[in-house]
Amino acid sequence: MEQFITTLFNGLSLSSIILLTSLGLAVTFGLMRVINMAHGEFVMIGAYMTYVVQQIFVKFFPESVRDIYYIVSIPAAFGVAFLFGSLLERFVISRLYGREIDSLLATWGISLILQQAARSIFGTQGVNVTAPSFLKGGIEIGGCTFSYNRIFIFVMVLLCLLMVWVIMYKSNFGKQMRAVMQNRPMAQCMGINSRRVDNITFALGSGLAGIAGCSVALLGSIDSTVGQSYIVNSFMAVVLGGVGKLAGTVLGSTIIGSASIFTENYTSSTIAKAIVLLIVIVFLQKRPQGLFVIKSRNLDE
Amino acid sequence: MTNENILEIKNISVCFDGFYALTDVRTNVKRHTVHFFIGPNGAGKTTLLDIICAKTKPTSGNIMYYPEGREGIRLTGMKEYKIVEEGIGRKFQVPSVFVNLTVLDNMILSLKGHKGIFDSIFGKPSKEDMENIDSVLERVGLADKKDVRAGSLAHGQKQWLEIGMQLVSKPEIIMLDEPAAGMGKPETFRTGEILKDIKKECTVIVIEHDMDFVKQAADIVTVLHEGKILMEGNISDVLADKTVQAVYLGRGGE
Amino acid sequence: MKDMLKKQGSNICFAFIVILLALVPVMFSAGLMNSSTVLFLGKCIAFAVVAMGLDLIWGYTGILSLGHGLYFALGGYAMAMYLKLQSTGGKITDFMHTGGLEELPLVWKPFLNLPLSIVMIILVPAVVSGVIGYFIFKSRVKGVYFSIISQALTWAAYSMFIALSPYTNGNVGITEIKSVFGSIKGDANRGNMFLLFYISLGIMILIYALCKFLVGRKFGKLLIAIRDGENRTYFSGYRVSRYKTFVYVLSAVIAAIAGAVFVNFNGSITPSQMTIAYSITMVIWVAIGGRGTIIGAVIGAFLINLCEYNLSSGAMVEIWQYLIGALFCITILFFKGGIVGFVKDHFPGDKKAAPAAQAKTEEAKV
Repeated sequence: MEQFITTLFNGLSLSSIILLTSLGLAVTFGLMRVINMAHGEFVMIGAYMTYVVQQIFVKFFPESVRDIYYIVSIPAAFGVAFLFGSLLERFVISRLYGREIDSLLATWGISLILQQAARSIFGTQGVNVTAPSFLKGGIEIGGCTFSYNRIFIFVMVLLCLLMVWVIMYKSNFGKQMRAVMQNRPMAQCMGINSRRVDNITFALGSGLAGIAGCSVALLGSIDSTVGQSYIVNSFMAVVLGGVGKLAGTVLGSTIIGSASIFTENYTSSTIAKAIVLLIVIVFLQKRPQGLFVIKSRNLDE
Repeated sequence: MTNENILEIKNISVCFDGFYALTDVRTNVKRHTVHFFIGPNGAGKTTLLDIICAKTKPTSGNIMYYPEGREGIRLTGMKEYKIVEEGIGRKFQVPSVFVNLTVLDNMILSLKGHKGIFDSIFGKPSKEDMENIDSVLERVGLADKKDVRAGSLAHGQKQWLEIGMQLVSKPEIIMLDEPAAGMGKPETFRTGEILKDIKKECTVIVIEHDMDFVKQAADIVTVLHEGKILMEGNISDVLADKTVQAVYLGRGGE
Repeated sequence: MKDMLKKQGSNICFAFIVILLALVPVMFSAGLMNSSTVLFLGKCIAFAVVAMGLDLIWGYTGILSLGHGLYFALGGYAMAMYLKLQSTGGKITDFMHTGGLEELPLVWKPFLNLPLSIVMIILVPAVVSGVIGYFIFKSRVKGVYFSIISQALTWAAYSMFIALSPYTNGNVGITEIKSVFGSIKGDANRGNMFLLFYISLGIMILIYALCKFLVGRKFGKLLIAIRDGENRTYFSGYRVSRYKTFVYVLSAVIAAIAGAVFVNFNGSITPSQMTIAYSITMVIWVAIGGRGTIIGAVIGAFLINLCEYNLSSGAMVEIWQYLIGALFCITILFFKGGIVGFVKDHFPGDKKAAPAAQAKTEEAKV
């Protein structure tokens, strides 16, 4: 029982990180039909931002306030990733609408450049951040340990999810976004500046990946390939959940995250991941469009 | 004893997310006729064609097809390429020709039979096939465009090409979704003449808005409205009908 | 004469490449080239072969596989297993000992003799890709969905290969192997190296001829038809999923053959040849060379690898990474037809050679 709860907790924690990376992917793919292979690099940017902010604090601030660095690094990571995302959309993605496969390839080129940039700036060796003291340790309930940093990540993901939900379903901008998502030409006719909506949406998705980077930084060392290890799972979560639905992405991420952790109990972690992916692929045989489908009468959907 | 109906549409209903695009549609298509489906936008005409050629699955009902001199076939539930093999061809609303291939290649790909991988690697179209292609191209006025890339044809010419691609596959039923769209009056008239001509060889099902075109070519007209059949008959009866005028013509339909 | 040049342009270009390659051993003997360059060019031949296979499925059929590294590596591993057993004399290898195996595992048994190994080089990837292709294409998964799934599959296979280290030697891969014709290192074995080089060149010519033959037939037109209008092709009465599976298997087998050639020159195979990154690198060759033309794939594979070979040493490593990323991105954005497409657009003559950009705008309209 205790083991089960610990596993469940770890599964949820992995799911939440996958969710954070998939959210951005899901929104950009749903809205613009663009597959962003450089999405993992935004996670990397977020992780490195955490490291940079920490370095700044260590250098310029007294010991007593150093722990605040992590709180500062979250908006910093979001901001920088948001900016990069906006630039990427402006100069690359916006030229690739309607060319899904090409968008995938062009962003791969970007991803190569960003990875190399990270190596040039931070070196090929991984760097580490020290978790702030208030995230060290954990609470123990009935023999199960819940580490603070995983709880923190979990809460942060919930907050991000809430934010995305509010933006998408409660705000005026969200209304415009969904309008563009469902019928681009019509939305344009209604006077919605679809270019702007695209740009902000893409940047938001990138920013979320940046926040994911902050949480990844807590869990291990950071190097130029840190984003790549999460991205395959995120893509599968998006495909599994079905494109363009928040609920689908949440469910997809939860399934993939928990399934990996649970299978890990029985085999090694690499085989576990392989098995989970194979199961997802088999599942997609039955429902190629994922769990949640928007039915449409379009000819070539 | 062959059935005089080539197609029997039995109680077809389609539901998209709670919205009924077609409700309990029943009609028969007679052999060697030009059968028009008309109706205002959203009446379900295209959906009906989609169901016949298996692009859309009906929620209930089925469609029976009686090819010349063969047993009846249930079309509902068959794969689309199977249906084409059985002799039902379709031209789509938006001209969908293969833009990066030449007109001739487009025609060769549409020839009847030889659809297997082995055939496509080692086979060559026979002399009769090539003659057939030439005569069809002559008929649709594209004989001098044989080596032109289909993508660089004008809109109307693409329509012709797609009609040609259907003719060359020698179907028993040929379904045309707005064949005259993007054509001028003379070309539309010519299309009408071709339809009257080809009904000797096959059955033609057409969706069209152009009333002159309907008058010119139709043997039977079925009027659809909001997913239901409003009436069916020859063109003069249909035009005389008060309800039809109200829902369709009265609104200044073309 | 001019007409012929335009019509046979790609074949002439290919013949030119072949002649240059055929002269390589001569130049080496004359001391104009060192042996590592010859080995490198041998690897390039393998890359050109896999690029042609990839072009068939991506350039012609429009299916982007992000997992051809898997088939390349499967062919490579099959070859390497045979070669490894040759060097151990059929006994079990060190890494199997370390992994706790007592005798040669069953999966290694077929690689004791050459003919059976060659069969396996073709059969294993054919079966794997056949099963995957059959199910994926039957359920009409297409476009980016297919790309994402192929990526995930490759990643899964990669994890498996690392996890099963008693059988595959995990991360290290299979190393310290000679070529099929014996050692190719050193002056004494120069004959072996030349033999291997010319056989590989022969394989490349055969694959080129095969691809050219296929795309010249109705089959090739059909692939383009599937790329431009998959639904329309179904409604023309073709079982598109079968065609797709067939091309997928074909290109997988070509990739595996390339992998087998590669191992002979490289002297080792590692799981890194199986990664997503490596698979996309292959796509980069095709994209820059020119998708949808067989010669484009060949040119791309040689050009990019030659540049990389000459640039990626010392301080240039960093710049090369930026360069290839930017080049790839720009090619996709502005030169969809790659080098060959660019040449065709600017020196038109053959009317059939449609400018890729023009075709795209028309598709958008539809």
